Formats: sequence, C-alpha cells, structure tokens
Amino acid sequence: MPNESEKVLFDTRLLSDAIIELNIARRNVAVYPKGHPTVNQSLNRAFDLLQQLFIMRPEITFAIAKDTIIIDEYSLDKKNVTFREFALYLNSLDIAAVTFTNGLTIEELYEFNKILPGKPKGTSPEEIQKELQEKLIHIKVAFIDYDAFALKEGETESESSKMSLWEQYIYALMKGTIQAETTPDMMQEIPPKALAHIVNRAVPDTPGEDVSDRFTRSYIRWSSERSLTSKDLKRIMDFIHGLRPELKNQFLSSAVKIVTKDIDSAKDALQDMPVDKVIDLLTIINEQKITIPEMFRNLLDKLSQPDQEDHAIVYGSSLAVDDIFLFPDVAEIIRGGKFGSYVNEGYQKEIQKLMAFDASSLVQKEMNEISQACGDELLEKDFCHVVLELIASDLITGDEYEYFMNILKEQTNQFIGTGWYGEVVKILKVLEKNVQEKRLLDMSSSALQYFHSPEFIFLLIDSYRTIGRLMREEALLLCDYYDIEIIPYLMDTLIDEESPTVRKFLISLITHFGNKAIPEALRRLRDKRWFVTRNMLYILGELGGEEVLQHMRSYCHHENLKVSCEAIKYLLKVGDSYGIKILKNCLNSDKGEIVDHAIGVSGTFRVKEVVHDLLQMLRKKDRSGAGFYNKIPVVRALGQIGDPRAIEVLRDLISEKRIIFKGAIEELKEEIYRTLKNYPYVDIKDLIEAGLKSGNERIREESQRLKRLAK
Amino acid sequence: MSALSNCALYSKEHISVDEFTQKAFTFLNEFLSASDSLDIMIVENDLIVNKTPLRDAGIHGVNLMKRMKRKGISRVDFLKGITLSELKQFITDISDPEKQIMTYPHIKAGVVDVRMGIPQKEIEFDIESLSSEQVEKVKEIYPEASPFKQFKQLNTMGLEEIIVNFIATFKQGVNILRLISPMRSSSEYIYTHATNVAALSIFQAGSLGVRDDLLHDIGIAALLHDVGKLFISKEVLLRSDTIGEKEREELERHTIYGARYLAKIDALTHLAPIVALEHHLGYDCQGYPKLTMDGEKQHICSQIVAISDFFDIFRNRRPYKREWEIKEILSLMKSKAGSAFNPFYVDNFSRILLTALSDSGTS
Repeated sequence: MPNESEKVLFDTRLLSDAIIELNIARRNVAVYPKGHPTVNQSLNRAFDLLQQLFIMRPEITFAIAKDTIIIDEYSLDKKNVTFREFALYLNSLDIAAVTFTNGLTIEELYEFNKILPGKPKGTSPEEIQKELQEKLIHIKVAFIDYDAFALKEGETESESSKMSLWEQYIYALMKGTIQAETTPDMMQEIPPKALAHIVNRAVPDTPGEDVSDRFTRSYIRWSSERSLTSKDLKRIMDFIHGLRPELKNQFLSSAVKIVTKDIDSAKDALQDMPVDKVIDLLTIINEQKITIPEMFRNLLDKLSQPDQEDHAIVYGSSLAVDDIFLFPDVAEIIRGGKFGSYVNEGYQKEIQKLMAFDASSLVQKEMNEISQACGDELLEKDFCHVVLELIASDLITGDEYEYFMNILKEQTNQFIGTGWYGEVVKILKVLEKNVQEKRLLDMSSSALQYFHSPEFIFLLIDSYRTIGRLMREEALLLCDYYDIEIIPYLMDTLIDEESPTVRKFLISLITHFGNKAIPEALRRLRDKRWFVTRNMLYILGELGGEEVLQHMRSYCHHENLKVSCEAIKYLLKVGDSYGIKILKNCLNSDKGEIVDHAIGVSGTFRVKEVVHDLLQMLRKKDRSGAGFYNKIPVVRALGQIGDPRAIEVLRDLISEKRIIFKGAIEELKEEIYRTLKNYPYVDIKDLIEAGLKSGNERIREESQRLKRLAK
Repeated sequence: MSALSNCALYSKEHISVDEFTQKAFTFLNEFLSASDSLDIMIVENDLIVNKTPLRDAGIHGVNLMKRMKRKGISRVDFLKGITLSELKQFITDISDPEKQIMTYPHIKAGVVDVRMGIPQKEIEFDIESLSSEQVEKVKEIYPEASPFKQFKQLNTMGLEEIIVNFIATFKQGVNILRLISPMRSSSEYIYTHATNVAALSIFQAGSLGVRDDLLHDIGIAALLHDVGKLFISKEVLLRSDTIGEKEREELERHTIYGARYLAKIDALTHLAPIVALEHHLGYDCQGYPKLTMDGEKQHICSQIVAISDFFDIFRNRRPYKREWEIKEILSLMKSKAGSAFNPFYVDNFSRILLTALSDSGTS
C-alpha cells in the first residue's frame, strides 16, 4: 500500500471511466456466458483502464460507504448514478472495500464478478474470503465487519448531536478551513433559514468581506461554467432575510457583487423569478442602502412591474381556480375579473407570521385522533388503500403494478397478523375486478393465484387460530369471500388443533357456511381417525338436515363409543325415534362404559322414554357399596329429566337404612336431594319436610333451599 | 412485530399480544439455545440481524426500524435467559410512544457505536496515529468506519465532508429537497403554493397538539401534495381560457400521479401519497378522484391539507382571479364545511388564523 508521500492523485476522468467499465463488466458477466464477446469486450475495457491507473499507483482501493465510493479520503460524487449503483452493488454483497493491485489479470476480473454474486444466501464471509483468496491474487476484498458495531447501552440518539455537527461544519467553513471549491453538496441542501440561523450563532462579529464573499459564492455555488438561476437568487435572498441585521448588509453586498459579475445571467435568473421576489430584492437593496450597478438597478425596476394582461379560466358553465373546480356560486364572484400574477406580498408576510407563531399555544384540545390515525398500523392501512386505488387505475405501468403488488402482499401479512381480515378482502376484490376488466391481466391473475394458494390460505388460517376469534366478524367476511374453497383448510386445521377454544371457533366458521360445508364433512366421515369422524359428526349435527340424519343413524353403531355417542346425541336432539331405540339398547348393554355414557346422554337430552329403564337400574338390589355409588349418575339423569314417576323409587332409596355401606347410601341420598328441584313441588313436599329433620347436614341445607325455592 | 402491532393497536392486555409474544419468545428461545445472544441493529437504514443484513426486511422489518428510531435506539440485544415477562415488558415499552426504553436483565437496548478494537493483522490501520478528535469523528460516522480500516491516510477534511453526507442520508432517509426541486423547475407558482400549503398545514396541525415527527411528516405530505402536477402537460397546467372535459380529467389525475410517484419512494412517510391522492377528495368524498372502493373516508391529514390548499389558492392572486380577503375565504370555507371540509377543522383554522394574524397574536 502506498504511503502518504508515494500517493499520487488519480486522473479523475480515468477513475470515473474505470468505475463505469467495472460496473458494465459486472452486469455483462451476470447476463452472458464466459467468453461471450460482450463480456470479453467490457472486461478488456475495464482491465485497460485499471492498467492505466496502475501506472499512477500500484494499487487502487475503492471503499464503500453504502451508496458512496470513497477513494483515499475523498468520496466520489453521490449524484453520479453509476457510482451510486456500483457502490450499492458492492454494499449489497457486504463488501467494505476492494483493492485492485498491479499484476491483475482479465481472468481474475472475470472471477471477481462471477464468484461474489453467485454465492448462495447464507454463505459466510469467511467461506467467500477463502475462495477469493484462492482464486484472486490481485484483488483483495474486505467485508463489512459488523462486529465493529457495538451496543452503547441505555443511550438514545438525540437531535442535539445533529445540530452540533452542522455547527462544526459551518464554523470550519467560516474559518476558511474548508475551501468553497470543495464545499460538499450538502451545503446546498441546508435550508436558507436554517443556514442563516447557524451563521447568526456561529459568527460573533461582522466577518471580513472575503469570508462573506467566499461563503455566499459557495452557497450559490455559482461559477463561470454554470448560469445563475432564479432558484439561486431566491435561496440567497431567503438566507439574507434570516440573518442578523448587522450581517445582512455584508452578505447582501457580497451577493450583489457575485450576481452582477455576469449581468446576462442575472437577467435570465431574474426573469424567471416571480415579481414579488424581484420587488423584495429591490426593497432590501434599498433598505440596506447597497450600491448596485446602474444596469442591474434598471433591470430590477423593469422586472418589478407586474404583467396585467391575464384572463379567466372557464370550465363549461363553471370556473376553475387551479385544480379546484369551483362551486357555481363562487364562480359567479370570480367571473369577469382581470387580475395580475399570484404575487401577494401581504399574504407572504402572513405566512411568515404564521410560521413564526407558536401554534401549540393555540391548542384547545389535543386531537388524539390525529396521532391515532397516523399510527403505523392505521397509516399502513390507508396507504394500502392508496395502493389499491393505484392498481385499480389505468395509469400505472406493468413494472409499477408489480411493485405495488409486492407492497400489497407484505401489507396482507401485516393485516393477517393484526386480524384485519376485512382489508384482505378489499385487496382480493380489487384484484378480482382487475381480472374481470382485464387490467394487466397476467399480473392480476398471478397475484390472485397467490392469494388462493395453499401457502397463503394456511397462513391466513394460522392467524385465525391466534387472533381470529377476537375479530370474528372480519374473519367471517374473509370466509365469505373464499366460500367453499376455504372449508377443507379450516377442517384440516380443526383436526390438528389442540385448544378447545380454537376448535370451537373453527367449527363456528365451518358451520357458518351452512349446507355448503356438508359435502366436505361427509367426505371426511370416512377418515380412519375416530376424532376426525366425531368432529365431522359434530359439524354435521350443527348443520342438520335429512341427508345428515341418514348418516347419523349409521354411525350410532360405530365401534368407537365417542363417535357413536355423537351420532346418538344428534338423533336425540332432533327427536328421532331411532336414537331412543339405540339409547335403550345402550342402557341395557353389558358394557359398563356404554351404559355410563347412555345414562349421561339420557339426562342431558331429558329423554323421558328411558325413565323406565333408568328406574329399573335404581330398583336393582345392591350387595356392595359400589352398587350405591353407581346409582348416583342414574339419580342425576332422572333429576335432569324431572319425571314424577321417579319419585316413588327415590322415596324408597331415601328410606333405605343399612348399617353397612352407610357412606355410599348417604352420598346417594345427598344426590337425590340435590336433584329434587326439577320435580313438581307437590310430589316432593314430604321429602323436603323429612330432609329438614335429617341428621345429614347437607341434606338439611338442600331441603332448606328447596323450601325457599318453593316459596 | 405482530405482538408490537397488536400492542399498539389494541392494548397490552389484549389476548393476541400474549399469544404473539409467546410465539416470539419461543422463536427467541429456540435461537438462543444455540447462541448466547440475538442482536438487531440499524446501520444506515439497513436492518442487521446477528451481523447479517436483511436487505429486504419487508414491512415488518421496516416497521421495526421505525419504532426503534422513534425511540432513539438503533440496537437491541436479546440475551440467553430472557423471560417471557421481560419480553412482554419490552414489547409494551417499545409500542408505547410515551414510554422510554428501560433496562431489562436480558434485553439490552441502546445505540450503535463503533468498536475501535485492535486492528486485524491484514488491515493496516494505525489507530494510534489518530488524534482523539479524529477517533471521535470516525465513531460518529460509523457506517464508514469499516472501510476506513483499509486506509492509513485519514484526514479531518475528508471526514467532515462524509459527516455531512452521512447526516443527509441517515437522518432524513429521503432527500425531500430533491423531490420538490423538479416542482420548482416546473413552475415557481406550484412550488410556492406547495411551501405555503406546508406552512399552513404545519400551523394547523401544531394548533391541534401535533408535535415532533408527526408534525414533520404532515409538513412533508403537504409540501408534496401537488407533486403529481409534474406529470400533467404544461398545456393543461398553463391552460387557456376554456378547458374541456379531457383537460379537466387530466388535471384531476394529478392526484393519482402524485400518489403513484410518492408511493414508490420507500423512505418517505406514507402520509405523502395518501394526502396527494385525497387532498381534493372532500370530507364527504364527493370530490376527486372517484375512488374504486366504497366506504372510504378522507384521511384526517388530507382534510387538514385540503383546507390549507383551498386557503392558499384563494389568498393568492392568479392571472384569472384577484386575491381574496381572509374573511371572504373563511366565509366560503364555512359554507362548505360538512361537505368539502371537516367542519371541526374549518372552525379551528378560522380561530387560529385570526388569532395568529391579529395584532395581539404574539409569536
């Protein structure tokens, strides 16, 4: 690497050409195969230019600061599209610097352009570096070392640091430590008022004439190679307006001196300026008593006269003011006037007054709705609406359409994450309309396909699982849009879902489709997994209908008790006699598990037709404590049914007195008292009276409660 | 990000916040089982996750960067041992505009700083040769620090230039002046109108309690509201006595052209395309452009800018109209309140304008 004394400045033109050719070469290498004439040509050109640079220095290093190329301590022109593109390209490959050294070969140049962009994502810089070192001797690549970016915990970035840097810069400029010729573009980007503010603070006394001249020239950035523009004039005037009174005169003199050096250029610039600005310039020159060349004064006098030959604009029978189409009443007021240009000095002063005014002192009520409406999420939603309007218009190109579609796809993920399914519906409807109206048909269809892809719909349903039940109405809107297309996905998710709450929500979405969901549910009844069949029976049960009834009857005999029970429940719910018949069979089954289920179902569905079977169970003589315990669910089921035919048997059980199994009998009696509330009071009155005198405290409490209820 | 969004949209107690936080926690733990930390940082508008830049961070990435910047932080490290409650607290804090980022045992937040370590063997960078002032400057421009490691010959002059350039790209994200300068070249009137509308809109928004970044964004949106006129032919813009249906249609299209132009600028506030599209829509949505979607409402910021726009056009003198007196304009605006304009904002505008311009109005 050359040291300071060896450093020779590059030929700017040569350097610029070399970067341009390197950029072309890397593009061509990406597009064409090795050996293609276009590739060879561009590589040769880049190679030749680098060779010429090597004559000046044995090595050249391009450092990359995101979109800027830095060579030595100088950053190259950021506005140059090619430099910027090349910098961004290298930055996208995480390259911090590239060094080309003398001895470079065309083959190395080719490999450099081939290896880096061809790397699959996730390849580590170390791996790439290793490969580069093997293949490239005269090109050294330094990757961005993100380890250098450390955390400064607890600190935040403040605006004050920005201001101090600005001030530093201006101080340096005023001291002359930065030459006007090397003033960075940024100087032009400082708003005149802000610049004036900084100068007011930075310059304690009246600066020397040379300082104000240099400063003004650098701010206008006017040289003999560039004509003065009205923009330059306006900027410098705005700057001067913002200065302290004692600085105004000095800087205005400098400005006039610089501007009047080329009177033709000044004339052109002044002619492009609005009349009020010309008047403004003349006024301030007079106020500050600045001596100006006669020619310039005559020019200002002439150009400060407004042109009065104007006209009104007619739109149909109405009028238009700019882009506002006027209401007829207003049109009438305007019609017929002959007015000058838009210049209105008074108004500009009003604006200045408003700008200087502290509007926050006028706050009557803080409008939280503004900050709410401008919160990230709501703003994204409104932005999405703008994008939708754009893609629904005929005013965008295919490239723009694609760009906006990508935005919409991302927005959709956001909407899904926040449960704003209605917004997704809006997107889908616009796309459908575009397809119908054949607006950029291929792209619209392809976008629509994405939204109908399993990948997307699963994403959507995953969001239903998380947030859907809280945004039920919007979730249903989207279901309505997808119609039966979404049902299989909902069912798949339901099958795998473990949370009962989510399952319930998913079922509610499926049943929202009504009969449309029946075919899919019937198809899945044949699934070998019992819980799938049971879920489908449940869904079918919610949907109902004659078709469902037939299937339910056949599943009453399913080998899995939970499945058959689901079918029986449905039949009992609709009062189908076949269900009662099956229930009776179950109550009389040899299998205790089946009987237990049947007892529970009898109570839940208040099946009076099985009261006799249940009473038979109670009447059975028990020879063990377990027998009494087994009667508890039967008593409970009878209580739910509330048929008075049970009272007699219950009375017998209450009067049962045994020394053994006392605990079991007492529990059974307590259950009887708990269930008595569903029977007619007249039939249980004596039992209540007896209960009040019982030695069992729980029975007494239940009896008191029943008595209170009766009152 | 879903947890953050839902926390900002609903409340920290919302069930979805818990669910998404839990999800994020699971992902984090999965990751942290193989690594000691997960760091997320912003380096010059790029999101870097565990030393890997996410070039296309997507909307979630962009929103995360926005939220971090708003809090003034540019780096967050999640450390092994993080708890669900810590993560939830962090999500709550970062989504609440009023809250400061706190310290958490396993979440470290702050700004990015350039670590000036011992130079690697192959990098010929002699840190000792730099003055402390120079080192500070290198730190300030950290995105450039890494490439600088390649050079011996750092000098202050070059650095200052880069500092200024850096501020331009890093702080603003998008150069607004470059966006509006074509407007100025196109027509001095359009440019002046744009700046006046921006001033009036900032004034209105300020009087409604809007501050800081949002006030800035409203100003930008107002400044660019008519940018679509750049795409309208000069013949229509500088129209003659009469305009026909086609010319009217073209003029009206400036709203769509503007939105189209601004919607493609990544780093620009999304308020800008919204306002560009809607500033002639009207409070009752009966203006232009005619929207494709039903039930849309004019955004509050578009309502504010619409008032400024209307006021400025009437207050200015044009070749075909005299400048109107403030009272005349306010009276006209009031007659259109409820249809073209939001009545609340018309009243507010009238009140604050008269107060500020009255002799007793003090700045």
